[in-house]
Amino acid sequence: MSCFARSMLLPPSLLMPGMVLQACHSTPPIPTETALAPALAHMDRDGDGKVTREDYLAVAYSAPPFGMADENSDEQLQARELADLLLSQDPITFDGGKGRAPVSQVLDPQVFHPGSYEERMLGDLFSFLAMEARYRDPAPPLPDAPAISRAASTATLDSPESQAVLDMLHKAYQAVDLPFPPRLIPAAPSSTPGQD
Amino acid sequence: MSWPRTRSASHSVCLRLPWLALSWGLLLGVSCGEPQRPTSLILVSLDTLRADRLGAYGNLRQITPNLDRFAHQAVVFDNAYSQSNETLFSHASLFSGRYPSELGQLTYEYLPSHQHPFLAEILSAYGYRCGASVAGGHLSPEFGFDRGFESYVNAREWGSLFHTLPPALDWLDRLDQEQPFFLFLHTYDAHQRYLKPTPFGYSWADMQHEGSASAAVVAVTGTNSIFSNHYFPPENAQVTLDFSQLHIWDQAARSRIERLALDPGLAAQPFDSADTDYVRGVYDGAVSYLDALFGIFLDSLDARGMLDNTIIAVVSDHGESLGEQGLFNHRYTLFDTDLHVPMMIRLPGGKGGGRHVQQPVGLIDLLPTLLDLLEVAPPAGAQGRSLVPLLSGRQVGQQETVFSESAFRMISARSPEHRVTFTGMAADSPFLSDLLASTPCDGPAFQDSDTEDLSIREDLRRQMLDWRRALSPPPQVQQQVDPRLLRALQERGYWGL
Repeated sequence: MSCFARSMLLPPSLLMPGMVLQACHSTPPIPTETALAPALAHMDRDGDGKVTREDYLAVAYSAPPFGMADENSDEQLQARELADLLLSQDPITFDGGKGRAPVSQVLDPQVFHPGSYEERMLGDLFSFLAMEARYRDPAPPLPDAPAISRAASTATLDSPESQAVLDMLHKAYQAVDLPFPPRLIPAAPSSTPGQD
Repeated sequence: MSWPRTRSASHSVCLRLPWLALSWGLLLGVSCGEPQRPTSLILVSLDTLRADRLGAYGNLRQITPNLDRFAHQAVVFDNAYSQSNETLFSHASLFSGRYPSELGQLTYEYLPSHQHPFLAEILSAYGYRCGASVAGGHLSPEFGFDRGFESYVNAREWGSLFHTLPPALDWLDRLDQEQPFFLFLHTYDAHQRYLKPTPFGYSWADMQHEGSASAAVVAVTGTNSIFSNHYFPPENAQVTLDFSQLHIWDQAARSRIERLALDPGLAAQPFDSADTDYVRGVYDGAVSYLDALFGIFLDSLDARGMLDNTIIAVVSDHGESLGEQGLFNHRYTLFDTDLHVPMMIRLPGGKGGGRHVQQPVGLIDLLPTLLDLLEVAPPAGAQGRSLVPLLSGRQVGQQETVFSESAFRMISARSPEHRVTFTGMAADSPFLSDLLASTPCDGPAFQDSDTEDLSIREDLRRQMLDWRRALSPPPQVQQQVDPRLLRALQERGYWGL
């Protein structure tokens, strides 16, 4: 059990100022007043120079009762008490939350980037070319998704499937007067893949 | 959690250059001269923090008084942009000075190549003690970011400064006072979920608000399900999903959003402007919480007498969409909401503090800059450039365009006035340059740009092309690609022979 957890089990009347903030060793308290002064001022919603029970309740969500936060029972929250409040509430579990599991336990990379690198690169290439051609004119025949997928799964540009898709895309680009990437112009006409 | 003892404020740092650094200096032809007091380095990454939330970046709401206090002592880069819109890739770029696609395939099995050293590895070789305190997630050690650190504490999965500060301070207190150190401190405080403990959680939002947003801010990944101003209904409901407002052309990204949006537990409800303001308010509450803890960290360093001999750099790795273009969360766009980040460098003693730099810069520039300040040679081929001249008010070359990449098939060029995004091809694709060169600027690939002016798009397209052609493909990709594709690519002139 941490020092803070132990100290928070003590009745407020036994908590000396700064006690909660002292580590298990005899060391000076962690400096908090300067850092928390603006937050304390912001809590003073009615601007009377004091953070009262009403000011606290206006923002208290799953929080200790005001009486517990007000350690010296003077009906106002002071800097040191705000510091104790801050450092006693774990931001993940303060309201019963459990937090998130490690990324490795919940993330399935294949959901976002399915298939092998080659399939992804070739699939993206064919899909991109089809998208640009279709945007300018839906009329020219374009390879459909299954044809693109079959071509991409061959993992090479030189397969008959990939060459057929590139041929179809090249013709579509010519029909809509788009420049086709020179390095990807297919070598020779081949059988027509599935059309969109 | 326990806060460690503080170091005596009266300690002094030995004025001795480590022998290893001396050896490296001789090897690199660096003049050694008289031994000098070693300067240490602290790098703070405030994950998912938008720049526009800071007073130092123009926010009038004064959510970040402590970060603003730091900004008065630091040089503030007003137009800093991250090189990716996600933690994993952005930190890889931050640590290496290279673009994410240079380090590996842009998937969630991303493991940055060891061929390019990380900041901690470089400083470790120069005799720096290197420690890190991180909040898990994509900075978990399994992603390889612990390279070069003698201590890499994963304090809490998706944790806060609440969790990462104590181990960081404890590590500092246990250091040999005579050796320079590099501390990397990280937090997910501004990452969803946003809701933070009293009094911060609702300090900038109306706790009494009731609406669709109420559940979203409480849930761990609630904002994933808010798109285009509607919660999406269960799959069996007869409701048409409205994606018309979304500027997402990448099919994988749209599919991802659709899958997330179809949460069976949520009823179809409109998400109006009051809901959006509420979510923004709770996000601001998270930022104020983060700011308070950062202020405690800053004052703890002061109490240890570290502010006079330590360079402190504060950044965020990416931003967060909060309803702009109907989007929440991050990752799905390369808009400024996702990429404009705070970047502030405090020199020892606060020298030059309060200066604002307008020139666009990238997080990729931070590694060369920090190494330059520490008089350490940068790794060969690092794409970032040193911004040290800017710290003293001078200019750095003519480059004013910042480039970024997304795992969801997007790259972008950000000039001082405009952003052009090219969508549809992954940054690690061997075909990217060809398509970037040949695709007209008036098509769907450029639709996410912030201007309809084709001459502006054309100019930034050319700059993107020059940028891509200057980059080398990731070494991991070349080693792993199917030999058939590799051969076909090489025969066509890709990746050389």
